Amino acid sequence: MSDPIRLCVIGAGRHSTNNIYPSLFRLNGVRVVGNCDLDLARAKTVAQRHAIEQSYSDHRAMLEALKPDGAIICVGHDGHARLGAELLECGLHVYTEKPNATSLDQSLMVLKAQQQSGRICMVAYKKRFAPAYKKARAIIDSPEFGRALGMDVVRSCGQASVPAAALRTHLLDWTCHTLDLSTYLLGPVDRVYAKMCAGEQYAISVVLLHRSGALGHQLFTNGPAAPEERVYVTGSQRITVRVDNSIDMLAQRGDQPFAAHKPSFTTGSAFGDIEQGFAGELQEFASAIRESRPAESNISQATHTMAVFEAMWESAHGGGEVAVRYQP
Amino acid sequence: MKFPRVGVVGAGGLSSRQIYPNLAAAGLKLSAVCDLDRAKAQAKVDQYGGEVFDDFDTMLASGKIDGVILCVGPEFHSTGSLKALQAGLPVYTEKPPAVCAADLKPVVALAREKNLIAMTAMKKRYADVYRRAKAFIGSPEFGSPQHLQMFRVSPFLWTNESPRTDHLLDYGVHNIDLVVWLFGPVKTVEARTIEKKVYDITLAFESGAIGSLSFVIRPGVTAVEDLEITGSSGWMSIRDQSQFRIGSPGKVTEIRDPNFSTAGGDGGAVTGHRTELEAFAAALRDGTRPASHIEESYRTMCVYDAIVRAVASGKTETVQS
Repeated sequence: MSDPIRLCVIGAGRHSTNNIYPSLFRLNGVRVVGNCDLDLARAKTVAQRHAIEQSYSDHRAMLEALKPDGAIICVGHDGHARLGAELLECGLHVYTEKPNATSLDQSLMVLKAQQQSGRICMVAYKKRFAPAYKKARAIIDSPEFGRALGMDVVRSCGQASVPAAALRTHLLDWTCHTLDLSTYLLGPVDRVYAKMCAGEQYAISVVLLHRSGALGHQLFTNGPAAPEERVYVTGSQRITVRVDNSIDMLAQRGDQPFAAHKPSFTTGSAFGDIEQGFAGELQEFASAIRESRPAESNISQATHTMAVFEAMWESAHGGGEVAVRYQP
Repeated sequence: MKFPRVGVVGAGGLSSRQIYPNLAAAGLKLSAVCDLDRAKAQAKVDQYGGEVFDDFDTMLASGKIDGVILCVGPEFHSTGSLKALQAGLPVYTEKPPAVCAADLKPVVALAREKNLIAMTAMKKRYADVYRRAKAFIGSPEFGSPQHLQMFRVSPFLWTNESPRTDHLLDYGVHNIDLVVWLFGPVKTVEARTIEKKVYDITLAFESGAIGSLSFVIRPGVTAVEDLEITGSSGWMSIRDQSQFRIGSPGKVTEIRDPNFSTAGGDGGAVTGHRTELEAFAAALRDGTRPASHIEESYRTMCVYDAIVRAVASGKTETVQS
C-alpha cells in the first residue's frame, strides 16, 4: 500500500468542524498532518478531537513545517480565492469550500494560478458526489434517457430575512450549489434570464439555456419554510428523474419506476455525510492527487458556475438575457 | 478529562462504518485498538491514531485508556464487559449486550459494585426522532400510553445460525429496546414466528398499554421501520426513523422531515450513531448516566428472553427481571 496523502486543513470554524473534519476520517489513504486557524485555541480543540498532531495560527508556518501534499481551505468566500491562489503558486494541491470566490474575476484569477502551477484545484460542490445525484446523472447520460429536455429546481433556505446589503453574498452562497448541479446534470449553460422580487423576503426565478438545447428553471427563495430542495429532470424518451431533499431519487419511465435511491436511516447503512456528498468530495480530492488526474468539480467547472451566477445576478438586475462569460 | 481516551476492541465492518469515524466527532480520543487480526487493528491506528494491542488484558492494564468500547459479538460483549469493569474501566458495548439476560446479570451487578458506567449501543434511544417521541409520550398532550404498533422490514438475510446472525437477537433487539424505553416495563408477552424469518409479537405493558411488533425479512429492499403510538390525548406516526407527524384528535400539530439538502444534514443524530458515542463520552467525562445504561439493557434482554420463551411455548409468558 502506498504512503497516505498528507493533507492540512486551513480553518476550524463551524462548517469545517461539523462536516469537513469528521468526513476526513471516513477516507482511505489520507492522513491529516496539521490544521490551522487564526484562533489557535479553536484549531487545537478540533485537532485534539481528530488526532491531528500539529496546530498553527499561521498557515504559512504550517505549510513550511509540514510540507503537505495538499490543503483544504474552509475560511470564507474571499479567503478561498486568496489562499487558493497563494497555495497553488507554492505548488500545493488545493481544495476550497464553495463558493470558491466572490466574483468571476476572482475565480478566473485562481483558474490562472491553477493552470500555471499544473496542480489540482477542486471546489467543494458536494452535490456532484451525493449518491442520489450521481445516480440521476448516470440515468440522464444513458442512451435510454434520450435528449435532456429540461430541469426544474425549487430551493428554499428557510432563513427568515436577508438584509439588502447582504443579498449578493447570501445568493452566491445559497444558489451556487444548484446552479452547479445544473451544469453537472445537463452540461454547460450559454445564457441566463432571471427575475427577482427583492427584499428581506425574496424570490428569484432563473431560466438557464443550456448549450445542449435543454432548458433549466430554478426558483430560489428564503421564505418562512424550512430548507427544501426538489429537482425534476425530464428527457425525450418519457423518462423523468426526481431528487428530493438531496437524498431520495426516483426515476420513472412513463408512470412506472425503474430506478431509485432512498437511504434508510433505520439500519447502519446510511450516513448523512456520505448521502450529502461530503465524504465523496474529499475522497475525490485525495484520489485525484494520488492518481495525478484532474478532479471532478475542478476550478474550471467551478468558474463556469461562478459565471452562471454572475449572469443570473446581472439579469435579475434588469439585464435581460445575459451570456455566460466563461465556458469550461 | 476534556477528551476521554478509549480503547476499541474489534476492527471489523460494523465498527469501521459506525464507530471509528464517529469517535472524534463525539468527543472521544482513540488511544488503543485491539483485534485478533493485527493488520486490521493497525489499519485503524494508521487512519485514526492510537496504539495497537494484540491482547485485551494488556490493553486494559496499559493505563492508556479511560474507557472500553467492545464491538466483537454478543458472546464476548458480556465477558469482555466483566473484564473491563474488573480492571476499573467503564465499558460500552455494541448491541446486543449479551446472548441472554442471565449472561448480562453479572455485568449489571459488577457495574453496580464498582460504581462504574456500563452501557449498550442501543442507538434508537439517541436518535432525534425517538428522543422527540419519548418527550411527547411524557407530555400531557399525549396523555396515558394506550397502544403501540411497530412494523419493521429487514433488508438483510438472517441465517439464524449463531447469535451474530440471529434475526431476533441481533436485529429485533433494537426495536424491543425502543418500545421498552418508550412505553415502560412489559408484563407479559405472546409471540409467533415462521422459521425465525417473520415474527409477530404482542406485548402487555405494566402501564396497561398494549403493543405489537412485526418483524419481516425482505432481502435486498430498503429497510422499513414504521411506528405508530397512541395515547389518551395524542398520537404520533414515525417513518424510517427520521420523519414524523404528531397530532391530537382531528388535527396534525407537528411535522418533521429532516433536511439533507444543506450542510445541516444528519451529523449522526438521525441514525443515533454519533449521539450514542457522545453519551459514552459524557459518562466518562462527568459520570452522566446514559439512556442505555446496562440496567436498561438488562430489562430489554429480559423482554427478549420472554419472547424467545413465548415462541417456544406458544403461550403467554411473564417477563422475569
